[in-house]
Amino acid sequence: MSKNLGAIGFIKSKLILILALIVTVLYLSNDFSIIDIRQTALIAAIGLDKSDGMYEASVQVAIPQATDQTASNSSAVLTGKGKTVGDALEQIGTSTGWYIKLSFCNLIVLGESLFDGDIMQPLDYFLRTDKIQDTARLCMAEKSAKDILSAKTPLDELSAFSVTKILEPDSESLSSIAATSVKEFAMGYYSESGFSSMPIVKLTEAEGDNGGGNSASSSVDDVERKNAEFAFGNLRNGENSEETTFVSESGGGEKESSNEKSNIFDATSTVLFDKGVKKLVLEKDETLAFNMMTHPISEVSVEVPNIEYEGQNTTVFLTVKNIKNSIKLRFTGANPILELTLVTDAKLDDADVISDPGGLVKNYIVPDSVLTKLSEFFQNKIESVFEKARNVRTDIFQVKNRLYRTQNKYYENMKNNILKDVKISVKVKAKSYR
Amino acid sequence: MNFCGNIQKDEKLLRRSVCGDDIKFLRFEISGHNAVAVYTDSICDKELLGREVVNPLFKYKGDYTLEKLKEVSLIAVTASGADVKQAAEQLLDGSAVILADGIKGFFAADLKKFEVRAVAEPPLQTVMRGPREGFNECIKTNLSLMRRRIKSPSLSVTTLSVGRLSKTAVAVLYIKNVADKKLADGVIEKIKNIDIDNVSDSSYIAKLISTHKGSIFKMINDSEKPDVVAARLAEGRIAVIVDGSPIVLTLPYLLIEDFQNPEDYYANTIRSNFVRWIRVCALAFSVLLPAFYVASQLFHLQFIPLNFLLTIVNSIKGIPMSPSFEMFFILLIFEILNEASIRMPKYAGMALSIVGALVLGDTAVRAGIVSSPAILIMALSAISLYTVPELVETMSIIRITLLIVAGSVGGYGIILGIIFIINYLCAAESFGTPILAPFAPLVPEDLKDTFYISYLSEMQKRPRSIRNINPRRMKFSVGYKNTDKP
Amino acid sequence: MEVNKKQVCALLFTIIPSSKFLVLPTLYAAYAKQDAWFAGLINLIADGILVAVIVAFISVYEGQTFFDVLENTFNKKVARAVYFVYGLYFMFKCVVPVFEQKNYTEIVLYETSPTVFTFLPFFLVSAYMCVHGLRPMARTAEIVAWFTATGLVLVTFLSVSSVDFLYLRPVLKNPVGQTLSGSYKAMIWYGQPLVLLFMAGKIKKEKHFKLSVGITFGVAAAIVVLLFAFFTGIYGDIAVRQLYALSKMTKYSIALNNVGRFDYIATLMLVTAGVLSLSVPLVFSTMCFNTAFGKGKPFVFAIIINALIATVLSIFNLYFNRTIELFENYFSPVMLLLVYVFPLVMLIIGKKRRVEKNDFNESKLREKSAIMREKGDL
Repeated sequence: MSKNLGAIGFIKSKLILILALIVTVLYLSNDFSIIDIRQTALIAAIGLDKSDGMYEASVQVAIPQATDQTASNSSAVLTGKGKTVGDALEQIGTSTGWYIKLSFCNLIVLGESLFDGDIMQPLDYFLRTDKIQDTARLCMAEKSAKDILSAKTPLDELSAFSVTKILEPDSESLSSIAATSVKEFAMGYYSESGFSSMPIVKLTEAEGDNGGGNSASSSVDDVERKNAEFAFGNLRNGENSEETTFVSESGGGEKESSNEKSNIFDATSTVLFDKGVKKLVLEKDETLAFNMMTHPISEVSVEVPNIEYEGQNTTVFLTVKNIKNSIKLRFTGANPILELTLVTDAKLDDADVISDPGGLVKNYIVPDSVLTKLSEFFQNKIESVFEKARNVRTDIFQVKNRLYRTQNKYYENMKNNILKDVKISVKVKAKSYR
Repeated sequence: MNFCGNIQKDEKLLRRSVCGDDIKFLRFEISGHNAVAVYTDSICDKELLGREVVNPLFKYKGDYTLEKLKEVSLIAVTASGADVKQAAEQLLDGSAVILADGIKGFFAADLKKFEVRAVAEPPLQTVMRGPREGFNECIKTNLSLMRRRIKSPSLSVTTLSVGRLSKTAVAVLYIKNVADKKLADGVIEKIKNIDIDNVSDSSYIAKLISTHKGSIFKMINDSEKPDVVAARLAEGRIAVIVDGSPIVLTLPYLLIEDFQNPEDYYANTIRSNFVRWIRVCALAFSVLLPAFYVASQLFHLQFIPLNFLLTIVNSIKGIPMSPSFEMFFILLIFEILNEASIRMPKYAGMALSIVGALVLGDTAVRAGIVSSPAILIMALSAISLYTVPELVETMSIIRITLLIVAGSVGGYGIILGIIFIINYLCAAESFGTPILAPFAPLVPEDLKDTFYISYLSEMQKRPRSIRNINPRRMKFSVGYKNTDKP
Repeated sequence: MEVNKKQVCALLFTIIPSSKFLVLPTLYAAYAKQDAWFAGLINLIADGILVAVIVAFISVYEGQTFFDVLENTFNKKVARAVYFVYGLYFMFKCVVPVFEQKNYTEIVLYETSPTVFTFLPFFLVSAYMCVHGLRPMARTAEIVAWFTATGLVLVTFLSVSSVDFLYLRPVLKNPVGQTLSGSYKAMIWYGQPLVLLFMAGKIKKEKHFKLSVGITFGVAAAIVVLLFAFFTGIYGDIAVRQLYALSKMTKYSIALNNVGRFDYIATLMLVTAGVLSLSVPLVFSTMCFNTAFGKGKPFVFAIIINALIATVLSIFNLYFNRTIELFENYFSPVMLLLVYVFPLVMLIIGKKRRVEKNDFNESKLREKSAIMREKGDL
């Protein structure tokens, strides 16, 4: 017994020493297949396209530049093909030898070629995986997703940063862009209504731009390209050319700028889905009406045409603030009514007339006639959006979901016809901002 | 062996007992009898001996007895008797031993005179505001400094001698009607039981009476400042002054004491609160930052914002070392520089600063051996640690341990390390007082002087975390209005 | 006495919420859908009753440990046997949470981690805590409770803005059978207050003990239910596909867009609390085995228990779902008996210590040992 205790005592006294030695050796060797920062490619955005029944994943890799140089970061676009999204992304990793780090990816661009079936099929990967955040912004590319990622922008080093900025869920962008994330899209898809939406990103040439907004970066353009080529060295020598292609771009360069125009992005159109199938595209004004009812918007600027102001028929430019929206489904007897209420404050910013300088107050207070017109403007837009969506069996204001959640006792009887039977009542109250 | 009364024989006896060329014999006469004053040249005040002892004895013409001679001496008698050994001890302690022919005994006059460093500002605990005096190596001076601050009859001073060779004087101080007497007695008993040849410094006593000998955290606190020791005594702690050491021990120890800078109590309370938080955050920063940096690079890239990550990726391009080894290397270099800067002669200081700061720092980055964010992290960590100088030794070990853990198993390892340290501290007790008090066990009343410093007028009670018999430290008479409150 | 009222409350506050936000909300979502919070409430009510029973036990058998009561009611052998069974129970109790936390750290914190290796150091820390025993653990809980509270407050504030309360409706419309079945399946994540039973006789007698424990449990339970509701409100119909709610719920806060993922602070704080609450059953398992075998050598049991769980984890590393299934099917009935029934039975049939003389002797003995301890300290 005493011998045993002696052994235990010995172990006890030396345990910490032994452990410390093991850990130190492990630490210093650093050889337990850690994929550290040096082996990691930081992905800023993913683009998905489909060709020949195969998914084509393009990733925009952020390539940093020296901080003590007056250079901006650049990017490279890598592409991989596979039967599934996961496979396509994996392909990029295996063919480059870099670990694809998706946790910084905040943008997923879906190419137009994906929209012929249930869009949730490719998106399911992003919902399943823990490698990417489900807060990543989601959008549809007007044509190819790769085009969006390969585009040059005058203001940002990476096109992904530029697109992500306009798709951020802050109140400013929300006014005109129906931004969504993987999570929000999936929540809509799996809801009773099966409705979801995402913005369409279009490339527009930047007017008056000489191709390089960031002139400071021009001198290092070649270096960047070389860096990118070095980092993904074996891509161009043909070994993996069937599976992976490589495009490098910089934050702006004079050489390329002479040949290439830089682009800006427009995402004011919105595509609506029913159970993941593309149904309808909303244009700018319709997107605004949709957003006004479904998103928390703090302020929006609206142009209302054909208004009688200062005795003239003109167009006025208003700032709408303090927007309070509510959507309620109620029943009168067995008849469902969807009540959409919008209460706003409006401030007159501009009108196409020379007004009488009758004092500050007069110029500030919006005349009732303008307010009425504004209310009508919103009311018509909201009604038209709803009807347009209803015509293609798309539950844009989640009526069925509301039926299940708030009027559950009617659910069983009405779940199949609710969208068809529901009457819509839109109330818009616009007040003058004082 | 005793003195026989024959001056020549007694002189020989004493000479045999104490060897050394610095033992001097001053012969003179008392009422016609031969007498000798024996003293150690290096530690005895000769001038005083002549003026206050030898001269009065020489002029004395009365009764020739030991008792009468003692009375004639104008200096306090520290010992008398017939024991040769005792006389020898007195001699070595700085006293002058007086022997007279025909008297079977001696008496020793207290004539100690050592070269002592003046009372100066302590180098480790400097303050902008507040008392600047510090202890020195002389126990007498140190006791006088304490007596000057606590003029209460309740201040108990027990003097002991420790060390078979050094016979070092050790004084145990506590305030009778505040401190727990059982604790004080226990400490005295423990010091008495120490059997060692030599005590060079108070840290010897601390190590020998400490309950957790292998602990990385200290179990006994210390201070170089009399005002701090006096405040601690007033809270019910016990102080141990060791001759030859300018550092006075205080116990029991609470970890929070190290965050309590004396200046906190002298400066504006709001400012004190702010700087104390700075200290706490800086310490956390210093210990955790290198570890988190390495863990993030190896395991958790998502912890770092993308833009900063791009900067790091850029700066580590071409660095030959792994992120973990790189940080370990820089930390090691820092520790070497730190150690060298303490040990090296002052004249070499400038040269080393240049080598350290420029050659090793700047050039290493330029040469691509280490990255600049790693140097930045290390510099931040190193500077932050010195906001709590008392914990530098402990925390630098914890810092390197956490770094190794983080480099091996990542952020989860850091969390495990933190829990381990908390549990370790929770199990540690300094003389029956949990060192993590008043946090664990939680003593809400004592939180007034932890991460939050209350107004002085609100700290009316002594900390409960330290065993004491008198909880009230402040009494307000009836009608007192606390005008200190905002 | 080894622990005080505040430490008991801190321990309870730490262990109740910390293990419930990884897999559990998803399980509730699968069974109870929008009534997930209610399924959680059912489990918490059961735990609340358990707390009441144990607090009553502590007050009825004041100054006596559970072992004392068992010994007085039956005999020493039975008491040891019961402690052995509870030792096994506590050991198995931590298996699912350990798997869960290992997977969580591996997936959420270590995207690029190699193996189970990163989690194994947990067992070293746990073994260390097992050796130290109850008092340091309770004191650790006092510190970690601050981490828990901060983590929970941060999670609540960061997630509240993303909650759509519409998804909590229709309230209590999910079939009762399914909700109850969710609660039954979730039972393996509950029953933590049982540890209070093994602290009986070691808790310092203080005023308002019952009230403090009750309030602590109530607050912890309320936060848990609230966060279950938040989880449903944030994920709606896809809640069932969301594992590791803890780190997910907070990331939708608008504030994060500007300053980066500071929600990881909350995650790390709750992971810290998770480490303690994972160790708690292992500490009590060590205590039970130590008492059952009467060896007085917790070091040996601590090493054996932790090594065993570490081995199980290493071998069945890839069978997380199977393990949960196995425990849901076979461990739940055992748990029902040991956690919810047996303490109640003992409260009713237990006998107090009879001979007053023994009482006196024991108290004298305790006093003496306290003095000796004190002396040893000095």
